[in-house]
Amino acid sequence: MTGGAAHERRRAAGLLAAATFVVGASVGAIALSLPYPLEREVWLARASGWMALVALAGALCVTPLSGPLEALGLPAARRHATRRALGVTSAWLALLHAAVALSTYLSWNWAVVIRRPHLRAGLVAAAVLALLLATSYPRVVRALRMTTWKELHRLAYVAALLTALHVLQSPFADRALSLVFFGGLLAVGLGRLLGRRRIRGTDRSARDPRGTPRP
Amino acid sequence: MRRSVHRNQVAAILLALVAWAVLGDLRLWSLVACYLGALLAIEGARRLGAAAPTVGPFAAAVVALAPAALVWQGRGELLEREGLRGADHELGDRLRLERTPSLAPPVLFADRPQELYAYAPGEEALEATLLGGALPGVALGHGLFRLRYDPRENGRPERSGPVEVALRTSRGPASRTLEAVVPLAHPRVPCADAERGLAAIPSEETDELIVVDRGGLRARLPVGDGPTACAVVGDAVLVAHRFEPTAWLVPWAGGAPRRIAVGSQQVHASARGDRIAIALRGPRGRVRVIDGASGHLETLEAGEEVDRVVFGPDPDTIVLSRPRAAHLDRFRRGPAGWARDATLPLGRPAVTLTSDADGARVWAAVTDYRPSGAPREANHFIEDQLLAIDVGSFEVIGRYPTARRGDAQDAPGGLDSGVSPVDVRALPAGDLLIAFAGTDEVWRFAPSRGEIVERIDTAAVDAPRPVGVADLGEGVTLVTSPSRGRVALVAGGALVGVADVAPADAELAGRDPSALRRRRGEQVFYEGTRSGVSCHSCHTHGDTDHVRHDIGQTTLLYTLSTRGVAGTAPYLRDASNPRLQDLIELSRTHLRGFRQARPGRADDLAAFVEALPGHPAPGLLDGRDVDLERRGVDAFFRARCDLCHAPPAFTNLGRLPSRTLFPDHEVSARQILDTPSLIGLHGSAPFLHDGRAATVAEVLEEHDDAGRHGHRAALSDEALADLVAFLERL
Repeated sequence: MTGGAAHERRRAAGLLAAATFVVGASVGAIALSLPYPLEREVWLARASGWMALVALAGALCVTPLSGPLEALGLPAARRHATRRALGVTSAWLALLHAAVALSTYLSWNWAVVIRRPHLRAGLVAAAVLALLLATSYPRVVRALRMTTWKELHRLAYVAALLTALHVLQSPFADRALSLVFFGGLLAVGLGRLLGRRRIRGTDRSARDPRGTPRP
Repeated sequence: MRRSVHRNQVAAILLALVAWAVLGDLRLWSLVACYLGALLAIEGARRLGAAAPTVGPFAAAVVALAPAALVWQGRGELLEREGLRGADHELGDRLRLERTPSLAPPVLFADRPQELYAYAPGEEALEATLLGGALPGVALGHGLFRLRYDPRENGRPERSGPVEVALRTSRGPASRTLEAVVPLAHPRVPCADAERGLAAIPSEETDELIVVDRGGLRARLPVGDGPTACAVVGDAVLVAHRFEPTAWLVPWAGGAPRRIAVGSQQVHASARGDRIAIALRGPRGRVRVIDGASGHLETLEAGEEVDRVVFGPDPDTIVLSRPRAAHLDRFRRGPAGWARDATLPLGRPAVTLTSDADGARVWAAVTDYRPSGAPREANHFIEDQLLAIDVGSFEVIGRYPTARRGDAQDAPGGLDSGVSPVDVRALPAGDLLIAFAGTDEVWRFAPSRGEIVERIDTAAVDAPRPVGVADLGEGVTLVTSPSRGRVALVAGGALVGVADVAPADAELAGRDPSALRRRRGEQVFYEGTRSGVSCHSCHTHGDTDHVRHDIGQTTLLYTLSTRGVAGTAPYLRDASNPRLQDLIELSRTHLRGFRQARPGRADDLAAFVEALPGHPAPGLLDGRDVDLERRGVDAFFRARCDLCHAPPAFTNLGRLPSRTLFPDHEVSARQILDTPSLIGLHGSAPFLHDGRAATVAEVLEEHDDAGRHGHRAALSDEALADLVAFLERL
């Protein structure tokens, strides 16, 4: 990793950590003001869950929105660093959300967690993000001598799908907001897919039959 | 490098799909695990010096074929396991309630007054317009509004289907849709005068009294709002009403009816000589006893809910049926008034109650007889039978099981006769006429010999699921089919007259398909399965038999009412049924299926159940103390009941583990609770998932030691009382 890239990573991680801390502190302050235990637990679980989800969505949207982000003055290195920081943040927040829910209103009731489809989906999503978190550090990847890192990290999309199942079946999530959110995420993803096909098509038509690009 | 990545990716996906197909475990988490395993395999192969093979598109498609076929074949199972079966129904109901201002319930019944709740957070005023006219509403605070609809005042939709409600708040106009149900005439339980050859049958849905003679229809007379029952009183017919505070005496010969003020919620009526008894629905169990000649009215305070009343051998003896307590009570009139002097436990409530001509004996149809009162721990136990009760000794003197195997049996052990007796009439000679809704029959039964003297196949006269029967004299038997809208007159096994008060199926198919679906659904509801059990067996006439049943769960559970459940997906206590259509599965899994195959049963049943109105709330007819209501609503929000019981439906349709709310209750760790709607709470005792709370107050005061079922600590004792009062009137 070059010094510039490392700097961008530290910068992005620091900014996100600060933002997460500020939001988290606000969430905590609100929780402390709620005297009803169940309401407090639900608030903490929902808030941590949505924070994780927003971070995950942000991570998944960076690449599809490269063009607009570039136009806004965000160079590639910074985008990559931001994507990584968002991904790492989402994983930590997902684990926090799982810990909050399990330790409070779920009371470590694994019988229910494994049997309820939406809880199981959330658990698997958190496990996937934890795995991606562990393999987000270059030292770890080098030590494992991984060559399928990209294939592994494409599970982020699966995590997003599982999160959608989790949210859309959970008792307290606003369904309309959730549908809009995941619909937007899907639209961004589809936009990226269609954009890549168009680019490939342009590339293909720009090459001569021998495979060399035309001027 | 790019080619290597693509190769690895394609190989990983294909490997994962193949492994998933081999495992045959249709769950998403196992697919993820297979993918991770595939990546590990690729990593391992690479370290052994092997590269992932290049797979062309055709080859990839071939390899993916088997997993794709597996998924297609098991798509139902996959959806079920991931909680997606019926997800569209749940999502639809949820979105409808989240989109404020929102309305509940989602059904508008065109035949009765009802209350709707509107929720517009932050609003202090709301205007509602329906069918071109304003709907009167009351602001209850916290953005909650109660609207009242009465077809007689606000207009009636012309046909079933979506109807728009225009709402206006400070944020502007909003349009919401309700599903209007315009029910057809439903002639149910007749009262007859065999000597005159006349019978009268009230139709609650169309507010009319259908008068027939031995040849057919004589008249359709408009009566008061919601006629429920009738009784012959000399030259007239007494008509009891649900929504009308008066009972009417309608002369057979015609002319203006005489009205007697008795109070609303009249559910049953009986007469002996000039004395009339009318049972009123409600927790106090009041019976109005009227001297028809003088007009003198007395009130028999029975102390607990009553649903049927018959006279004994004299006008000073009354037998009452208790739906919740599952027993009969005998009351006698003495110098100090009416007093209970005998109780006869039955174990199950009487589905119907009638007396002999001289009143010496009373006949009750029940689904089991357990005088000890102990619940029967046998899965879905139903044993239809008639009980003969001697009024003098007040003892059961005869038991006559009715469900049996007849000639129509097409599979071993199926019960295809005598299922679900719903109406019984005693004939002068001692025989009985019995209508069986579950098997489309009427019997003329001789209890002295235990012999079926005559059997009428009501399906053959297009009167399926008979609910009422009567003797019209001269060998003519009257049979009512409310679902079909027909009164059939049968003599010698042949149809000799008919009164059709609703269109036939063919006409309904073109005119109002939704009404045809509801009709068919009603017929499914009463249809007996091979096990001799129908939906009606426990959910009596769409309601509940108030009995604890063994339904294969770890504890005995009280039967839920199926009324007023529209728009509250998922269903059942554990939210195991995402759609109403799923309820039909029980007939296949537990009740050995229906005798005849017919497509569309599930959808028809759902259409019928969705269109069942709940019982009218106490305040709907008797007026409300709005200040008390507002205090109750304020307490509701301060106690954070709205977190789960969110208005306007008073449920967020969510599921929670039982131990989340009740960690101190001894329940299975796996138990999930569907958040019930609190609308209709007034009639759904006992409360909580296992019926452990007898009253609403007990729910909050005695069964919440952990303090997690609402924020009780935020309420003073007075506020708690206000909350209880509000909930009891919902």
